[in-house]
Amino acid sequence: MKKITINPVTRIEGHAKISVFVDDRNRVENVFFQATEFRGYEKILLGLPMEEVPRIVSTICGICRGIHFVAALKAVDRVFNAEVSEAAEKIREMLIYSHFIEDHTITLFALGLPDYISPKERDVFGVVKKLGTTAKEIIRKRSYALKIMEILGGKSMHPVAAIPGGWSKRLSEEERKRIERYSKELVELGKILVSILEKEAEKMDKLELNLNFLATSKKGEYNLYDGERVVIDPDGKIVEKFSGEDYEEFIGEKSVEWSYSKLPYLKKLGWKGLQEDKSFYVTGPLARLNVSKISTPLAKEKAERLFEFGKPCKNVIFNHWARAIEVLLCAEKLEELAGDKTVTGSVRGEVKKIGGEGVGVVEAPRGLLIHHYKTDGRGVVKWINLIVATTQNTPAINIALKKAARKISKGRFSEKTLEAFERVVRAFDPCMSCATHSVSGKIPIEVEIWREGKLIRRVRN
Amino acid sequence: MKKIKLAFYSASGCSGCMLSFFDLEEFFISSERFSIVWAPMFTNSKLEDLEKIDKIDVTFIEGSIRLSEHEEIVKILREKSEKVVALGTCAVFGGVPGLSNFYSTEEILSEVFGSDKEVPKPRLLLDGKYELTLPEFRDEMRRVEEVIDVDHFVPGCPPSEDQLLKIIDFNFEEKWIVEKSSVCNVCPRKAEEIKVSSVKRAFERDDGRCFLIQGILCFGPLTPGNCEATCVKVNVPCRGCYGAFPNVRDFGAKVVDLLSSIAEKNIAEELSRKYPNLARVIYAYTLPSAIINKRVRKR
Repeated sequence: MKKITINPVTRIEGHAKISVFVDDRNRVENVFFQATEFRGYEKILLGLPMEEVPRIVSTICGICRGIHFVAALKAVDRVFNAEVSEAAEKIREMLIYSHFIEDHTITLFALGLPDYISPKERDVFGVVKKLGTTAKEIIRKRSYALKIMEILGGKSMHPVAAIPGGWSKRLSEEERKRIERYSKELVELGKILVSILEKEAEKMDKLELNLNFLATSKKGEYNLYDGERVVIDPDGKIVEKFSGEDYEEFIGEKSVEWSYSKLPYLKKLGWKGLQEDKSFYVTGPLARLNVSKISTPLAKEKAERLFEFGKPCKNVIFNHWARAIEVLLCAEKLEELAGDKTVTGSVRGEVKKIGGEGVGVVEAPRGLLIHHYKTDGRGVVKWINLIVATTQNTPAINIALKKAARKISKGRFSEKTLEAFERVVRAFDPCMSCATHSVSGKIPIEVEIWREGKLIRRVRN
Repeated sequence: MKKIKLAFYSASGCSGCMLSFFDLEEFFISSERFSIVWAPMFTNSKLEDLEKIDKIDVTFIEGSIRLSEHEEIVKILREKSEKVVALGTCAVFGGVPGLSNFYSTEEILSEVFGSDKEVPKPRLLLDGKYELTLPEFRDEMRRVEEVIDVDHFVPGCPPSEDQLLKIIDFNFEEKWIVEKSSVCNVCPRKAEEIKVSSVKRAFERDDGRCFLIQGILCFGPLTPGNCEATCVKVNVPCRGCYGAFPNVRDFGAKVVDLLSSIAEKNIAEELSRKYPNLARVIYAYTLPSAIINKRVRKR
């Protein structure tokens, strides 16, 4: 048997490797997507006062620069038994929308689109050159999302404005108007990105997975901050609903000896080994659009084009397309909230009884994010569990790679297989700094090719 | 004009410092002036490509150093680079991931995988035929400077726009690109004299005066003020994300100094009651550069 290792898949955020085993006729026998780094934030945050956690835990990832903060803050609310005021809740939502817009845009621009727009250079500067003035417009418009994050969170990266049950700074009327103005630019950004992706989608592979989809939904509608967790099957039928705080009853986490990232699965269906089975699910942009009704008019209309390829759309490579639609959707939501004068209301939180446990669940750009903390009677952290989006997608990534390998060159390993692997991985946009809460930082991905127990080739950076 | 050759490498960072370049429109506008010769995060750079490069003008390294792989790569980069810049607080002081130096690797692994039968293994033969390997970890998080010579230090989590604009001009000479005056200097909560007589946690009610006067820990006096006191402006105390001033080795020790000099009475008992693990808070961004680094592990 032959083993092939790709290390790293460049242009994903962080470090992983792919090990491929081929037989004596060069046919792919098995593929493993391994998280090769490990950071252990679960350990290093122990002993911190809970109110300090959101800004510190944010440093898990600078790509997902705002969402660990919000997940931890929701857990803080619980630990301090604080009810969240209406204005504070809306501000938190606005922070998430602007974060999704800037993150999806840079992901598409720097990581996702190079394969399709500038296949020669295959990097962000190739995309900039090819798109010319449109590229400059995209970069300029994206900066409005960062400005909104800064107004709301204090910093555009690793926000700080957390208080239990509230937000540390009230929004002024002048700031609200500014955000409203910026959000109109962001709607335009969404339109531009959707039109680019509609065109590029024609060049994308077709890789349909028969897995479930998991996303947050509030009364059936798209929501990133609040709601219930809904699992649909590949036919679109709802198979599971849970609040999220009770995630332990529904999501199992299997440790494996070959990866620093655990493999989540649906507990009710049980662990059946890593294969295309409905005990696994996909989370993230495509899952969110598949699961929930879209309430904003422009995004709703644009999503219809995507669903011409099936609803639920099972082609995971179209995550890129879904990302562009989400930019538009988030911008429309942002515009709606910024136009609502109640967002300038009181953001003060009332702390009641301190101590105990808190679970914070939100949608992160790459999918469902769960933060769980247990504290002592003073609200000092004594136990942590973090299940991040990329970890939840790790089984699906493994399954997608195996499937892609079988489809290309009749299952025989070739350069084309390697390129397809990179495209599969990037469609999920895995964020390995998140997935491994890494102590070590970014280990690139490596592909090793093994035959009959001998390493015959290694591709890595 | 000859283009300036740049390399970017993220060791044990969160990618945030690298991404800060992308947040700058100026980075793209001035992109004609430089060429990026190696940057695995946003170009298709492989390790073999690095070996082929003969000279790099400026290399930016983000994050601290944990793996042997990090060490190997930064050493190659050092050899080929005219200038090496430690970018961001992790590279300069160790950053938040540096808090892991309170523990050994085994302790961290057992926290996450403790009760599981299947703990990740560096080398494994799965189903008797699939040989799968994972990198091993050093027992310590190191600052970039502990591994290679560094020419310039640009702290911040992430560094501010001002600092980045200065470095993308590539005409900087100073060893430290950081503000010489503290956060207090730019803080809207001005105070004539700071005296503390009690200790409060950060969630307790804030009356709008200087946090320290209220008894809420704030590290503004010891932290470079490049941020323009952005945290205090949204009513949140400073946690020292820029690390220490260049002439200070141990940030946390300075915090303790500061507290004892402004305390009107003995607040030590109250402090240790309200913050049972004070070291976590005062060294949140700088443990690997502290004197107590690695000496306070629990056995």
